[in-house]
Amino acid sequence: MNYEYDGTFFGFLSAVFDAWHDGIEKTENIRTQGELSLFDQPRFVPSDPGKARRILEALRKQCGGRASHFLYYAFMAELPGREEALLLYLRLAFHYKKEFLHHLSDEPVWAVRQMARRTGNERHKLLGLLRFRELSDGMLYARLAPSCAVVPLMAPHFVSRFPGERWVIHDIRRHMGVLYENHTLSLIEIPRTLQELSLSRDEQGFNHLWQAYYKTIAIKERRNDTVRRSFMPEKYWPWLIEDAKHS
Amino acid sequence: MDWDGIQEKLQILSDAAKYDVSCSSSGSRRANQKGGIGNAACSGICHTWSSDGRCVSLLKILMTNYCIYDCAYCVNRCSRETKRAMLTPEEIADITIQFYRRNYIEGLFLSSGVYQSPDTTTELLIRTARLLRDVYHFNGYIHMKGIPGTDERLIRELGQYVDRLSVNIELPSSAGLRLLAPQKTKQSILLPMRAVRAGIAERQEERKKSRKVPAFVPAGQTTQLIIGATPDSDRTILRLSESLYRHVSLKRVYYSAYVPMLHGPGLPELRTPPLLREHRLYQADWLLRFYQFTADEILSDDMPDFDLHLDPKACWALRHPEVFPIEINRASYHMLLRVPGIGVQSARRICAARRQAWLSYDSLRRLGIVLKRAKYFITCRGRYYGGHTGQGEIRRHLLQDEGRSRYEEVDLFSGGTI
Repeated sequence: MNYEYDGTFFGFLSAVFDAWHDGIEKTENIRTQGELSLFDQPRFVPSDPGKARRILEALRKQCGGRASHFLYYAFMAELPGREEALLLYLRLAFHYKKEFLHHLSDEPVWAVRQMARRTGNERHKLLGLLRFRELSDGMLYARLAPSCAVVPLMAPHFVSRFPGERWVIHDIRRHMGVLYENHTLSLIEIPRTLQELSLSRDEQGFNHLWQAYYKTIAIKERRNDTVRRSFMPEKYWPWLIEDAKHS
Repeated sequence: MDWDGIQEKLQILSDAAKYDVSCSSSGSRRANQKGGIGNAACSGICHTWSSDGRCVSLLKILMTNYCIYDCAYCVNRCSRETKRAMLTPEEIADITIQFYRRNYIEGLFLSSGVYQSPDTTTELLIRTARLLRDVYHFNGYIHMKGIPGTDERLIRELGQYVDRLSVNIELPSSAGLRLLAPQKTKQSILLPMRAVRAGIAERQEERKKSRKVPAFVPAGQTTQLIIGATPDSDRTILRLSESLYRHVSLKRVYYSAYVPMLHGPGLPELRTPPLLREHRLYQADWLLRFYQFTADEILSDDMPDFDLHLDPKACWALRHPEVFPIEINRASYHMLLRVPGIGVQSARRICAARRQAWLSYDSLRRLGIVLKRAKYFITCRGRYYGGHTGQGEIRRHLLQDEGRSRYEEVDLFSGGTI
């Protein structure tokens, strides 16, 4: 039996829930909707928060919070073939229960933890590399194009850091973002065509200050581009304020 | 705002501060308070990397580069002709907050030349810290310098506001201090350090009784040593670090390769900074702090300096063939840490995984353990996978890997400086 879901985390867990209900042994695969299939008639499972929560709750109770953390982060890495790996992971989890996380040398556990690590690493790196610009109405606006879907995972960090500000983090690859306003956080869709940003009066001044600081702080006798690039991959450079390319 | 004036000051004062290597923002979990801005992430967060590959997580500037001292190794010494500038506490606080809001930085690292007297300078530092904490309600990271020669009372007051305090030793021996910084004494440096340690210890006692007592320098204190400005051996430096960790409970010792930009009597004639030597010292420092090594195990009197071709852990392993190879399924955590190529993460992972399974060579690989170097020093289920058993042979193989190290490429041009 093959299952299809809408591409969201809860959708995936709902499909897992149904697969379990129908008999997990007969399950071949779970796919996002619209992927090419030649031979079978897949069953579409609509996203159902109730089903998803039951899976998550069971996982947390039987295997501990870290097991669900890895599951969520691995899903957000958005790697091809993630559903198969995660399904194997869940089957092992409900088999081993309490000892599950110690089974590091089991391939599915390791694979999922690697995927989760990708997300975690990118999230941590972008917590630092994200740059807000102040718009003319006082709102802070940041733009990113991350490989993993880390923007929703980054939001809580900035909520506890800037509780008194209004801000948006925009994922331009996924055309979505998080908006924080009046002390509430919301996930928003952002249209592909954007109007020009109108920056605040002081914004350019502070941009120049930061660029000057970035240039001066480097010791030129110690120049080392290899190390810089390995810590700060070039794919993130376009969204920085500092001109890393020419300094 | 006078943008040009501020920009010039910022450039002068960050240029003068860049030789201080400390830039970490870890170790403190200050929470955001109601109506305030910012918090401190315990893991520390790097915000960018400058073209020398060093991470930038704090706004690192001097309050002023005016200085009454004349230390030979220092760019800010009073006899040197250079542009001087000074930022007011208000200007510093404003730039910090505006940079912080835009997520450029994790906080402020404020150091200073000695302006008029150590006490006057520290009082200005305290004013800046108070402004940030009490007026702006800033809860981000603040790291400040303890100025040698400051009154203990002022150091205690400064400690109330900051996350980290550091007093730089700079020159690793009294002889070096006499030669290059005759106005400073060992006592004037150690006194503020002891004051901070006493403050931390007292406050920890009080906090056991009530969690409401605010922390004192929660991220601890650090120091910096300059490498290569004096003829001190690596062993002298490493033993100094070890005793600082043990007796003054420092969080970290930073090492800074001396960048030869000044000339004068007493200063060595280097062409480039001794970067590889600095790198080896950091490796050894990690061995002290996380790998349960002692300074005497790493370097001895017959061998007072590092082997620049091979890292200190591999050197130790090659000197102790009687210990290796060790069996991965049985060896203690302590011994796993001594295997070249196995770090704290890998050792922990092995210990966790072997509770569930009898580990084979392949399962190590699945655990993500890098075996390129480790394979010469371990057995799995009794089998040895290194192939080479002679010490010379193993050394040759390890050297081949080391040749591709990314710190090497800079050092190719250093000639005979080290």
